[in-house]
Amino acid sequence: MGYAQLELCTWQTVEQVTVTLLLAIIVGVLLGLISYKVKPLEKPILILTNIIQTTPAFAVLVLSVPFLGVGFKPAILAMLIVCIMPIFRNTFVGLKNIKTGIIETSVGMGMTGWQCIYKVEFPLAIPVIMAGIKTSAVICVGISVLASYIGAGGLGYFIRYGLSLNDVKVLLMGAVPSSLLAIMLDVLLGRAERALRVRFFGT
Amino acid sequence: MRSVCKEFVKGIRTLDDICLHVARHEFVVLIGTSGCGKTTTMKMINKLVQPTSGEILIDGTNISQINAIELRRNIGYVIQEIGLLPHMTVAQNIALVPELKGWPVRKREERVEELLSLIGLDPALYKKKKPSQLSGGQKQRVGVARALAADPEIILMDEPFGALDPITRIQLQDELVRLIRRVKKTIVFVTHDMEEAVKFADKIVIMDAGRIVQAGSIQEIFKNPKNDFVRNFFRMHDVYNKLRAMKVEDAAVPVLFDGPRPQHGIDAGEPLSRALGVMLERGINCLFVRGTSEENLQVTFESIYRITGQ
Repeated sequence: MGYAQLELCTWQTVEQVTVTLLLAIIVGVLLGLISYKVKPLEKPILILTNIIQTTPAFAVLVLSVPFLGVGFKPAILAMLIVCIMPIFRNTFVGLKNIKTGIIETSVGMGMTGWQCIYKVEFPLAIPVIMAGIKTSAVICVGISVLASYIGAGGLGYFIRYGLSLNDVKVLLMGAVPSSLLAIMLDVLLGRAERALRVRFFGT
Repeated sequence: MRSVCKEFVKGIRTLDDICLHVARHEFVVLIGTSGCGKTTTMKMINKLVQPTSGEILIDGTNISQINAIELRRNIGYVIQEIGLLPHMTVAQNIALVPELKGWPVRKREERVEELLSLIGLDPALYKKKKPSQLSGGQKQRVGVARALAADPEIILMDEPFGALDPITRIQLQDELVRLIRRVKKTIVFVTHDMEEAVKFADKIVIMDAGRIVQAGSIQEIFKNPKNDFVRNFFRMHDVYNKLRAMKVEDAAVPVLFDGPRPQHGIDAGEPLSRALGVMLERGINCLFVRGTSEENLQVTFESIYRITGQ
């Protein structure tokens, strides 16, 4: 349980979080966009995500083992399922909350469907989407710690080890960096969110 | 724009057999109670609503033959909510349609400056502002400028001044009247405010329950209201409304040889209320009517009373 291993595990966690978050952004935003644009899909997607969101993250992780096995990739997939939710929800809500007058004039002035999405709807929803990404990032770090239980490695390994050995030093070697990572992400993404809000809305 | 006729079915007929002809450079006001179909009628012109049956022609071309995107880029559009894009600057908002139409940057910038000056906002000051930094009146001005940006022949306006306070509204209405005289556009304007209609309209179209009740100039309608709905809608029993709707020439009578000679004059096209105002203000009881084909016409208290009395 040396520092070399701590470094390795930290990178593992960072890798897990980065990969999961990127995938979650892509899938979450797409899902949000689809359920916003395709009215018949709105309800089914919302119900599905509600079910997943109410399931505890650890349960998702454990439940995924029979289907996905153990290791890095299954862990990523299980984390993804949990992390998509805030991004998807915020994308959907952010798009849904755009004032109808804005969309109406955009269409009325002759924007095509795509122009409306990338010139109007998306920029207006971005601060809200960013808030979702922030929430998701923090959750993601939390689950990545748990993911070590299904053999994904990372800082959770130290925490698990520390707990079972009753070794506070080892426990903290896992807990402190992962907490720092979560706090860092929260602050950074929070800044990004505010910056976008200022840029797009001037407030 | 030529010969518009459409019919709209949606389970029940929201609009029933609407036939309307709008001449070039005419200012048409669609007026009626909420839910009478005036906005729907307007939205069919830029294909935001598809007619169930019937056809709409612009310059003789059926708009179903025209690509909706293309059509909308050539029609100005202003609504009550204004719909300025909050993430774009005033300049970007105004230049939106020119940008969609692929104008070069230089031309777009020139157009933005030109329009900002036209609506009385200093380009240097306002170009880079965000809509959230503007007052309600300024926002609506920018909304109008945006509709004018690509110099469309036709402009659609849906209660553009509905959300403004009375003072700003009147100010903007007056500005719009001046602006419209200068730019010469065909305008379809939706409102439920009869004062607005009287102020702007070359032609007023009164709608009720998806049908056109009466269409014509304000004078025609006041002289000849079709039914009680029209009479009530325009509060025609209200003498002041009548005075505003009628023109000086409507009350003009020949000057009598042995009668008093008018000392002051007024243009024939002025509203009658103006004539009455001038007479009361100056304490006189007759005015010369200027600008008619006939010589020696005047308006008197009596002639005004005769035409406005029930």
